[in-house]
Amino acid sequence: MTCFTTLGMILLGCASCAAEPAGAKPTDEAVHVVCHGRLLQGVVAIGGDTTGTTVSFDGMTWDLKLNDQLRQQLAGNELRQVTVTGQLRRVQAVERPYCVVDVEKLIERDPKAPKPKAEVTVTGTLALPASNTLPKSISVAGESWPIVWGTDSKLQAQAVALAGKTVVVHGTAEANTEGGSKKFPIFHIEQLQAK
Amino acid sequence: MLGRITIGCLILGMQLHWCDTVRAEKFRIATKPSQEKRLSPELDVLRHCNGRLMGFCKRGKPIIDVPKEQTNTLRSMALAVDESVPQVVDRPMRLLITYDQLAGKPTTATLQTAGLKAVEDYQHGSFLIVEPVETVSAQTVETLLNDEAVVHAAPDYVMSVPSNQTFRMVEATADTETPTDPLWSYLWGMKNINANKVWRTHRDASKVIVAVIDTGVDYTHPDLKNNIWTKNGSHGYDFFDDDNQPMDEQGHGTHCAGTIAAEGNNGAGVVGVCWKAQIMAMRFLGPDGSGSTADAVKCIDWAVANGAHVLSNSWAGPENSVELAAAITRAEQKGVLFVAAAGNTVNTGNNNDTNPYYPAAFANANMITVGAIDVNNAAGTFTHYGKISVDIGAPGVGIVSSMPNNRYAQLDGTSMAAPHVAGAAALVWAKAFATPAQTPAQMTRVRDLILQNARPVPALQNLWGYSSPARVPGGVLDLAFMVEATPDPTTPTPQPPVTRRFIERRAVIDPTRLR
Repeated sequence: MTCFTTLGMILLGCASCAAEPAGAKPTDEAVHVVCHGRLLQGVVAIGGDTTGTTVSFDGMTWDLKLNDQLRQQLAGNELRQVTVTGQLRRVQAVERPYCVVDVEKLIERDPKAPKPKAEVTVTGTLALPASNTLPKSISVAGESWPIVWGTDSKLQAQAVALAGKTVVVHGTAEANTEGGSKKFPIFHIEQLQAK
Repeated sequence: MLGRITIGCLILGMQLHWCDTVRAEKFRIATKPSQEKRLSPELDVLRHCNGRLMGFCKRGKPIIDVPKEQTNTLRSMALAVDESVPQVVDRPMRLLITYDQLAGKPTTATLQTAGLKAVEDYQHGSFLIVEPVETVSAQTVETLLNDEAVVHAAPDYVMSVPSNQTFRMVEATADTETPTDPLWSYLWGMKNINANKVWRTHRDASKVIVAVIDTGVDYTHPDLKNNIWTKNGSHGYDFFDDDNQPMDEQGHGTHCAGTIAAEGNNGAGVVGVCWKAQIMAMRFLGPDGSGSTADAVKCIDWAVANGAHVLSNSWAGPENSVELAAAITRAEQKGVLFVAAAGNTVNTGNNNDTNPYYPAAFANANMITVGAIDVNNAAGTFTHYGKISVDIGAPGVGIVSSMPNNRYAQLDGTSMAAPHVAGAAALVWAKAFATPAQTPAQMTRVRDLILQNARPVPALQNLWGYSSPARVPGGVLDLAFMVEATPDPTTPTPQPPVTRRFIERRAVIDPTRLR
């Protein structure tokens, strides 16, 4: 009960952010995410390369950058399962590269509720492959994120046509299991449109 | 970024090498016959041993994979320059692509795009052996640069040795300022803190237990295994997985342990501040290098309860924790020294006095908080600082030390600076007290000797070193105070002849950063 009371408090604290619908398309190059997972506070890391708060889900752990208001509201609360909305970026720290979500909204979620995959909406530039093949990455503000395409031939054809162009893509974020890496996610693209 | 640039330089250098006529230096090398493939951490260029060693040179200078220091080593290993050795011909030039185990390995797609094909995946050494399908192009460089998994790429040089010679025995030097550890020339930090001058008389801290509270330690590493604490078959504890096997799955803790007490003068790898000590392996940071404060507290309490004298802590976080502060206080009351890394922030650093990171910013009397300096005694561009909350500086840029699976690597960070102080504390403790014990009096004495004898560096005086009990503004760790003018002739010097030998693992070292 206490936790769900906190939910209201946090939602109030982010009223302006909450007005933005989930999955909204950002105007500039960015990786907009909505993810659901276990919150952990008091995190430490080698060399201090952490924000101190993380969310873990589906084999991935992302650090959370909270504004002062959110930080104060979270302090002392034992939130476990949360839904986080924000902008995802990479941090090339001195000793430990990691992903950070600049949190816009954080709400508690019912741990018994079905947990959807993390959704991403990416505005960026599709990589231009050497030949007439599917782009394998999307560049967002200078960072290259790996992407994979489904079996939808129409989507694939569209992707080939838009290679090298600025686009908005939508899909899910999953652990990059190729080679055992869990540092950075891979985006499974389901929708694509030219920007 | 630097790593990426390095890869680019390496590969571009490689391209030049392939395009131009290359003069080759040739050496014969003394070694024993073997059918094995042998790799050497001393020589990034070596791989095959079938009768001849060849180090390539460009315009009279070694190309990028044979930096000056390595060439000297190569020369020292060579019996003579032998111009009669025939050229290596008709052999496809290969590349070795070292990959980051955590980031995975270059994919088949990457190799195809780069115009390369895999010949062998040497997983034990974490590198791929590849061959160009046609010619190496800018596309090869770009593709490898864009693959996060690629740590290092270099030509796979052909090396071979005569089959009828034996290892050349190299006497361990009587001058213990220069140990036989082959990567010694890269350990600028040991010279900076004057550890090598102390080693003439003091290098054994085998009665001192140093707990490395980190990602665990590879306690089977050849350079560490003789300096690992053991009790009832255990070498520490793993609070990440909650078992008694604190094996390092990340590498960070093993690197820290090597700086503290990699075995000295053993003819392999690196040497720690202490040639002998007891490393207690504590794990609470997972494979991604992060962990919970709660598990850190458990590590501290466990290490203290099991006799550790010094706790080396190369981790931090921005959130204060009452529980963590209490654990450090418990250690303080028992007389255990707590060495903490100040923390890193890329390019800017951070003032821990005004924007604290923990445990670095705690003010316990048993704490020494350490910032990082580079080879020029300048502050690391990333190091956290604080006149009150940071006590001392130590080497933390370009630090070569041990990594899991008998590898070695060069890392930056205050994480590398703290182990220099932890190792120094162990050495000081062993010298100051014949019977090291967990007592506040001994701990305080060791702490004061470290802090009061810091070497003041004017350029650092606004960064740290203003808090009691030792006010040495801009102080840097310096063990020169332990140097004794005349070595005690009665002290036996255990220096059996050792063999200069090849080590069958490739050093994960970026040679260009070692110059």
